[in-house]
Amino acid sequence: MEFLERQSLIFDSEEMDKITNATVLIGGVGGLGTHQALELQRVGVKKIYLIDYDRVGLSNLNRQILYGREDIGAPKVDKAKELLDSFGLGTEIITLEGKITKSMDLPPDVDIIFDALDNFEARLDLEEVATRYDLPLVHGGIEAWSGQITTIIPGRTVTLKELLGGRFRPKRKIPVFSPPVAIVASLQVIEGIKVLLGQEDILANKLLIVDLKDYSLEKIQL
Amino acid sequence: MEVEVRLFATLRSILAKEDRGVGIVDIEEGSSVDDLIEYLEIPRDIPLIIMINGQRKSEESLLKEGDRVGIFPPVGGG
Repeated sequence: MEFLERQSLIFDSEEMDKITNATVLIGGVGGLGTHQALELQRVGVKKIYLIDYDRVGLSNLNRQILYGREDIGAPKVDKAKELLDSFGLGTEIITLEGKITKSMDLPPDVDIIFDALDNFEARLDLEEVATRYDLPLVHGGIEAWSGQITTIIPGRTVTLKELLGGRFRPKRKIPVFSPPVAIVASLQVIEGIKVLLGQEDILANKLLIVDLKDYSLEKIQL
Repeated sequence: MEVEVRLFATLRSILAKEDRGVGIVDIEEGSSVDDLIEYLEIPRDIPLIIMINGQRKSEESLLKEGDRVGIFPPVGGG
């Protein structure tokens, strides 16, 4: 992938090989997922699996940056793949249209899972899948100006379920706009790369809290 | 005793707007985080992550004069 010339000034050849041979799965292709997919393609991962059951709706367009007005009504995974493929950057994009369930099967070559879901119920299901396949899960969540990121490594870290302590907010329309979504998604991608490279300073057993009202990043030990 | 309270995300609006999410709360000696949550009328049905002086603590933890308490509700949108 010759377009990665500038990136190869940051990472050595062994690290570049790890990145360009990585297969990632993005759970949900909404706000977080569309931003993650664009960035993961730009850093040159080998393969991206996109999972989503939903179709593009008008209210998605304020933050789901792979879709336009003409895509309304079409399956998100198809439209996301279409645009990503049009860039011709070499990353293979595979779509998996459907809901995430606890019992779902994953392709055998996934190295890491990115949480890009929009509710905690589905996230807990995705966490169960990640645990069953012993895969790291990079969690991110967002609301208005705030978000949080952590990495769950099965058997080694606090789980999302433990972190939530069994409490759920009732379902409601969560306020979201694009810039904070982009920041949380970018932080998840940065974290995912560090996890893939086996770097030490990752967010395993740590929660990064982003509050863009006062531009604070707070990292706490879990 | 006085503790410094920082409320994140959706809890920020519990404090006065000019406080920008950070306030000094005068609370009875020997109070716990749980008492503070009660005092601030933070909803009890949502998950909360509690930090005291930068360390994660439980809601049962007792507070001391001058503690910096952060309360963060994990957010679920995407």
